[in-house]
Amino acid sequence: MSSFSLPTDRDEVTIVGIIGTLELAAAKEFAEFLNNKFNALGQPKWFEDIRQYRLSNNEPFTYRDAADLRFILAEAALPDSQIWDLIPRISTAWVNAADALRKKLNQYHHLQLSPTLETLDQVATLFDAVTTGPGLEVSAWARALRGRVRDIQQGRFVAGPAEGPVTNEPTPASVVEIEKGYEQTRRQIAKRPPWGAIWEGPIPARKLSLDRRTRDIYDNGVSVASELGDQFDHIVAMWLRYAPNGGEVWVDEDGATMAFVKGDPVMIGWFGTPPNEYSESVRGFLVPRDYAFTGDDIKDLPSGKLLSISSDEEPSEIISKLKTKLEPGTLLGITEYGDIFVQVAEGEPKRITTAHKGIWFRGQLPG
Amino acid sequence: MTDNKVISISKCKIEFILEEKTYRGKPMSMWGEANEIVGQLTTFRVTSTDLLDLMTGLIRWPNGDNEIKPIELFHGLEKHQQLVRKGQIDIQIARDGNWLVPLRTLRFNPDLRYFTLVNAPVSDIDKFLGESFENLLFSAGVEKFGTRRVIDGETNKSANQLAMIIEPGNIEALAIAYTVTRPLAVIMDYGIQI
Repeated sequence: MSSFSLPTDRDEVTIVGIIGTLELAAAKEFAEFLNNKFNALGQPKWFEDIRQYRLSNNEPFTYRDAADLRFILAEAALPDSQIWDLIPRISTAWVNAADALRKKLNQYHHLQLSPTLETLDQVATLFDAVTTGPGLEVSAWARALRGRVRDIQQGRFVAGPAEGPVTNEPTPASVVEIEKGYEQTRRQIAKRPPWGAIWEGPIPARKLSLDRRTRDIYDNGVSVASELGDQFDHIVAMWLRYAPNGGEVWVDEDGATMAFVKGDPVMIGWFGTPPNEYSESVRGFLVPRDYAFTGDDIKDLPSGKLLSISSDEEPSEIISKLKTKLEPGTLLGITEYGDIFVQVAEGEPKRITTAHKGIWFRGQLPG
Repeated sequence: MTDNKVISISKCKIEFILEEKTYRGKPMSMWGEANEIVGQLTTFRVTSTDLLDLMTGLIRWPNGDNEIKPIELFHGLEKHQQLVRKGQIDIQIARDGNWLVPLRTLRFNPDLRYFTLVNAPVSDIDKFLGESFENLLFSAGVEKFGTRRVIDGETNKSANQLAMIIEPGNIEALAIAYTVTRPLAVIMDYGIQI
């Protein structure tokens, strides 16, 4: 590895590109390392041997190449791992970091990892933990990334005229594809952002008035309650969560509704049923925190706080929903849209239910 | 595209219109008198991220106190309407001959259910402004900032009122002071408790 890229600012495409290139570099170095070890053992077709072994045990095996980091991390962590003995200084901590990194990379490939410096720091920390023990060169890149991220966050880094975020090597095609995917996701989010997030589009045509005191919505003085039927009270409550003073709100053709909150244009909800309300797909970028379902509560793992004592409103409805579907100890994630899902290392995560800021940990969702 | 100077203050932008015009009306300090008089008007336009578009002016009267006054609300939310009816600033003459500008702030009164002018703590203003009000004013050439007792030696009932002293005609300082204590206070819902 002759050179590596570091961010110079918070540019999202650069961050996405760095994570993808870092993954490829680590995978290539790990694969070369294992090739050398297996060649020395007289097993040059080791990847094919592992594939046959896993398939003969009726285990899923979708990897096509030894230089796929998710394959290496998964195989190394299995109880009957075929590569565990070959990786120096492997430990329980290494396996935990490998598992966490696989989940992060799965989120990355599903365009769910929020492309922020905070995320880059988390990912670089996991890469550091996974590559330093085996003595891979890519670990130096991971450590340099952590240092640079902190310098940028603390305002210590100022880019010089010759300093750029890119290496002198072209970005790999697979990473370019992911960058394009992230740009598309970003455009979708900009078009219909999560509740409480900044509204980026033009102001919609239909203007209504949300009255906090009467808890009603008016169109030129006439209540629109009959237009919303049974959903009316729920919609008023939702809008007032994000625009607590009421006032003018604007409704777009598809029902997306915005208002100005302390000067900022904000998405406050939907006039009617939100699209994809009952879909299993997970929308938007992740809140960069991990959670565990305890069986009768949700724990925010970084702080150890429980949802039941950390939300503004009673969260029993989502706890009840989770109880019917999950085992205690299940690791959860949530997106900025409030979509709650089980974290998986492979495959597409599925939405279990949706939270809003009132029934989630204070300050973690937009609005 | 305008060549006028524009400055940004939090959620607001202030555009300074250089042209001076004559303005006919009654000075606030002579409101009870019968006849309108003609003064000189220098305008600045306050716009905001939440659709406010308010033309405001410094009116220099041949007699009577000079004043900052909203001239026309081109556009805005329902809550911005309150800026038209209240929030004028009556400029007085300080002991040193400069202009003494009282800095009362529009704050929502939950009993009356509208904004009224109050003597707000500077810490409150700093909070909704997002930076130091005092530093912002000094960067615009303000001479003194503090209570009227401290900056102008007053001992009457207004002695504890927040104010600033500026060179006569410092339109930038006046526009900033007006924008922060009136439009921005309303935009940021100063005083509204949920």
